[in-house]
Amino acid sequence: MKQKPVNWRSRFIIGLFPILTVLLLIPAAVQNQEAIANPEGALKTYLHNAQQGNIGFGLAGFYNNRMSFEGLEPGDLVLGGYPDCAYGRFSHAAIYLGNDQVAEAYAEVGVLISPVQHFHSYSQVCLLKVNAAPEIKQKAVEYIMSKRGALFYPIAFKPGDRIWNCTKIMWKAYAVQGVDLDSGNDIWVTPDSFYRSSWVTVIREL
Amino acid sequence: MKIVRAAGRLYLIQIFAFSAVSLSTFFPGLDLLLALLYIIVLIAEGRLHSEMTIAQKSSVVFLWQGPALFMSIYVLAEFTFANLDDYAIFAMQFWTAPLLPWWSLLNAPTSGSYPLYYYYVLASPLLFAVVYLAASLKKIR
Repeated sequence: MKQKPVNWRSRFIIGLFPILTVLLLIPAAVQNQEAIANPEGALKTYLHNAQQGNIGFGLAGFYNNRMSFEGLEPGDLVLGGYPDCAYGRFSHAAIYLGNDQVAEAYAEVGVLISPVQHFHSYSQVCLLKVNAAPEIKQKAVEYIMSKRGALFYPIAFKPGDRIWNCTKIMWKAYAVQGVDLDSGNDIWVTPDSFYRSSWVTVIREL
Repeated sequence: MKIVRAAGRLYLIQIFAFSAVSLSTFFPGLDLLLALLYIIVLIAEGRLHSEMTIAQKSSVVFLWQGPALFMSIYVLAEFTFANLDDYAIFAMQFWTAPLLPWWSLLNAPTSGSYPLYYYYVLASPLLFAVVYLAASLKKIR
C-alpha cells in the first residue's frame, strides 16, 4: 500500500499560530500571576460573569437615570454601567473636560467629545473626583485629546502606547504623571478599578 | 470536501492568529512582527492552493470571509436586526486583529467622524481575500 507523503510545509503553516499563542500565553501568565489570581481582578470577574451567561458590556438601553453632574472638575472621571456587564459594575469611563463635555473612547470612533448628559442612559453612573493637582488633571485631559485617531481595541493590555481602550487611555494619561489609578495592578484596567482607586473620591453615584 | 478543508484551514489560521497577535500586544513591538507573519502565512497558504480552480478558490473565499463581509455590510448599513449592532464592530475588530497592529502606527483621524482604522476593519474581508487569491495564482512560465 502506497503511503501519502507528509506535507511538512502544510503542517507548519497550520501549526505556527497555535504554537505562538501558547508561547506568548506562558510569559504573560507568569508575569501576571497575582492579577490572574485576584478574585476582584478583571479576568476572574469576567470568567465568573461569563459562567452566568454575561459576555459583553451588558443590557444597553436608555435607563434615564437622574444623576446631577454638578461638582465635576476638568480631569475628573465619569463611570457608566448597564445591568449584566461582564467585567464589573461599570462598563465605560470618560474624563470630564468642563462645560458639560466629556472625552471618551469607543472602538469604532476612537476618542470623541460628547455631552456628559449622555451618561443618563446608563442604569448605574458614578462621578469620581481625582485627588491630584489641577495641572496634573489638565495634562491628563491634554494627553487624551492628543490620542484622537489612535487605535482602539477592546482587549488592550496595559503595556504599550499604540493600542487603547476607554479605560487604558484614562489610566495612562494619569500614570505618565505618577498617578496610578489602577487599584488592582491588573492585566487590564477596568472602570471598577478606578472606582476602587485610592486616588479618587466618589462625588456621587446611582 | 477539498473546498471545506481549505476554508477550515483558513479559519484555523485566522482564529489562532487573532489569539497570538492579541497576546503579543502585551509585548509591544512583537505584535507588529506577528502581523507581518500573518501575511506571510496567508501567502504561503494561498500558494498551497494554487492547483485549485478559480471557482474552487472563490468558494473557499466565500466560506472563509463571507460571514465577515456580511458583518461589514451590517455595520455600514447600520442594520439593527438580531440585535447584533452593539457587538458587530467588536466582532469585526477581533476578526481583523491579525493586521490591526500595523494600523496602530497611523494615528490619523479622518475628515469624517471615524478614524482611519475603522475603514480598514470594514474593508479587511476583501483585503484578506485579495491577498489569498493573489498568492494562489499559478506562476506564469
